[in-house]
Amino acid sequence: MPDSLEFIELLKKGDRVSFTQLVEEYQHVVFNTILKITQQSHDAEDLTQEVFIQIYRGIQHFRGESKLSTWIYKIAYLKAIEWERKKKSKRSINYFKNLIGIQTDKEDVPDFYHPGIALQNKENAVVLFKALNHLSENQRVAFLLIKSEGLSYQEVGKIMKKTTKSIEGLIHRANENLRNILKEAYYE
Amino acid sequence: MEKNTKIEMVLNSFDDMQLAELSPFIKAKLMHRIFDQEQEFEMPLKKSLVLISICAILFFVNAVMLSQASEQTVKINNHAVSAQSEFSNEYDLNTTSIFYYDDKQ
Repeated sequence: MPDSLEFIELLKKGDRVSFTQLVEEYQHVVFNTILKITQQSHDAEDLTQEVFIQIYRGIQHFRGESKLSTWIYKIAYLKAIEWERKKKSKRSINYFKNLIGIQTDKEDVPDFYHPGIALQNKENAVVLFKALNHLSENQRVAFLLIKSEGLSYQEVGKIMKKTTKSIEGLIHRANENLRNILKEAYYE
Repeated sequence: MEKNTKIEMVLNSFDDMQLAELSPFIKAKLMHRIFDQEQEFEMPLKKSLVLISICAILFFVNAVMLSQASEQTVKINNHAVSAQSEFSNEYDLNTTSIFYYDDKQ
């Protein structure tokens, strides 16, 4: 019943039982979406908590124009992207610090092993996660939401505030770029 | 293995991916952050609201008392002025002082 009007009304009234039910229903979905974007378990756990706190405080603003799950995905997506942008700007600051001779902690990006990947696909998935990091933010997120979360183009469009056509374009370019990256980096 | 087949295998490696589970500890922490901290946040808010209301009432009472006091002061002043003018009319202090009059007598 997570999408029923009564359930949403109960959530808006701050009903504890309903919110616990919502967390039960979406905790793994939110965690996985963030985990695949950030590729960092610890940060994904923190961000998952922040997402649910934001849902709890912001449910009053949910107007029901989209499905509740889409709204939750959107919050998770925005949180993960915000985290990534902060990390990128920190990286640029560190780069300039290094240029002018200020020593900073070197950041090695470790291989990411997603715990939900089948054993026979583990090594290939590590390669794919690495290749995904070379894509643009939009292409990567669209690819992850469609290929691994199994969302429709329409839903992803709503989450990323883009038309279905532009999502199709993003996925097409993401596939093309991934093939080129994999050819260059790993097999040539 | 052919290069393209390898690439396709990598691209399809997300197939049959299971959900990674959020640990029960994190979930418990989350519920604590949402519900218990919400209460902790609400309590001081309620206390502050009560304090603010008391302060507002005190301020209002004080303002009423001050306005009444100033009204009283104005009344007393007016009374004093009228008493003084009555007195001045009765005895012309510039020319005929009662004390001077008494002295002469």
